[in-house]
Amino acid sequence: MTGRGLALTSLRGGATLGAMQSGIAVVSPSDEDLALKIAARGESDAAWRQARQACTELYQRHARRLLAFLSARVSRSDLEDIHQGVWERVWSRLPEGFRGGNFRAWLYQISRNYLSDHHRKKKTELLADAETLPATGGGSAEMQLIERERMARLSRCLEQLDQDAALLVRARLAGQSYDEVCGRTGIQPARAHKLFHTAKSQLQDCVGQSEP
Amino acid sequence: MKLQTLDVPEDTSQLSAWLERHLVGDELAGLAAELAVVHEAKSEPATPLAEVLGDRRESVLQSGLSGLPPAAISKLLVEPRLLLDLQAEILVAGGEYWDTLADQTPGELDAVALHGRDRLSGFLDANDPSPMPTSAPQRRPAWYARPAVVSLATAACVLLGVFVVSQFVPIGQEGDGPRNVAQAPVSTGWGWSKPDALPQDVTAEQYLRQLADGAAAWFKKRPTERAALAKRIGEFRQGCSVVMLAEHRPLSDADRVWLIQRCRAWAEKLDGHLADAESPDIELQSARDAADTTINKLIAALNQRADEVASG
Repeated sequence: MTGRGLALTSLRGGATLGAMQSGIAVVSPSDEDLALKIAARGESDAAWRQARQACTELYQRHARRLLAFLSARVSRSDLEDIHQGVWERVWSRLPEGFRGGNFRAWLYQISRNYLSDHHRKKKTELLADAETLPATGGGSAEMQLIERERMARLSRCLEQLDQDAALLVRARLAGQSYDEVCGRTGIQPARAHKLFHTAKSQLQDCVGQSEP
Repeated sequence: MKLQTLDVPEDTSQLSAWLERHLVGDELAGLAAELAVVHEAKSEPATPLAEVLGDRRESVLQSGLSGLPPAAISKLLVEPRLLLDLQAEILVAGGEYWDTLADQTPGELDAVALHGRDRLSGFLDANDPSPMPTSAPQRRPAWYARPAVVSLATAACVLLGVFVVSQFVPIGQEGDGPRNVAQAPVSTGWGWSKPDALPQDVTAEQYLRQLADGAAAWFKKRPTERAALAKRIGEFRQGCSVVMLAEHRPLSDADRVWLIQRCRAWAEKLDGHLADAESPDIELQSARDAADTTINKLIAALNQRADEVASG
């Protein structure tokens, strides 16, 4: 056992919510309890069925966030297969590989390792270990080139903005308010608002112009 | 394609909520890439995430970014690699707040997650340890090399299994001991070999659509090894035999004849795909693509027939 026992979870699913609203605390198995059920799947047919349910429950708890994590690190066309591969690896390695503790941390480690394997296999650049930020969009080399070209175009489009507009864009995208930028540069607030909106349109048009 | 950064809120007090949505959303990589261009960011941030979050790390993980000072938010924007590091931290240690936010942030990934659940279910089906013919060790590849013989035998076995279970095993009363022989093929089949693949108490249209849906289970697994692809095609081919041998009570005589004739043609095609999958001269991808094409066509044919039946 992990020592954590059962954990209280709330607001997950209608039945749980209903019970919480009626003042009854609903106890759900912790991730670690579910992981232990998967690890024990070889003991009997009943254990196997419980393991299967446990795996489905863990998937429902974590798939969405795991997908967000993976989608920032692999191309969209590889995402589904990699996500599936991670869960298959969770299932197959859990009996030997999970030693208790934080299941999420283990899931993350499995995902990192899977991405590394994928990286080695495909010899493509992945964000986790890469020199640069990821090329998003497609999975093929062609699509990645297109995405990189789009970023290069964004860079060129920024250069085409007039000086005040470019400064405003950079400042606003650094989290600075209009007041701060105007106080620092002397640009009038009304003009700053107009400049920024015009700059946004110009950038979107400029980047979109030569897209395939 | 729309630039993600241009959605930046006018009111800086909304920045943290905007970033949070991106942290659980589909487009974080796009946002980070754009911010990196705008700020000419280096790949490695000058300040590590732990330092940016400082003693507010736990608060961020439990309650989001609203407690972060503007300077820290600014750091995340100017050094966008930090956003990806933060996302990883949230995956490992984020609290209910982030779960709820992810649930409330619709995106393409919802559909991916749903589809993934079906794929995982197919994977778990395939890993069911109960004894059945299709779980024979791969050292005996000959079992699927003679589809005309083996498929018919397996189909008969599956049908027998369906019959035995439906007659003698009450629903919800599976035993906990070793699985019995009658249950084995039923519990592990997929597609047309599943026990509920051929419901006899539905309309003709529903029946044909269910067949189409059953065929679509083919796409739940994407074998990347030759033996696995051959096994998968062999299993689908066995499903064809199940269909050819079934009664098809919901169908009219004409539809029944049509279905069986079409199924024979599909079976021949699948036999060819199986031979391709076994041949080292044919690329694996090419064999799989050809099988995909056949199965897509048969799904389309079943749905078209269902349309025709529905329109009378």
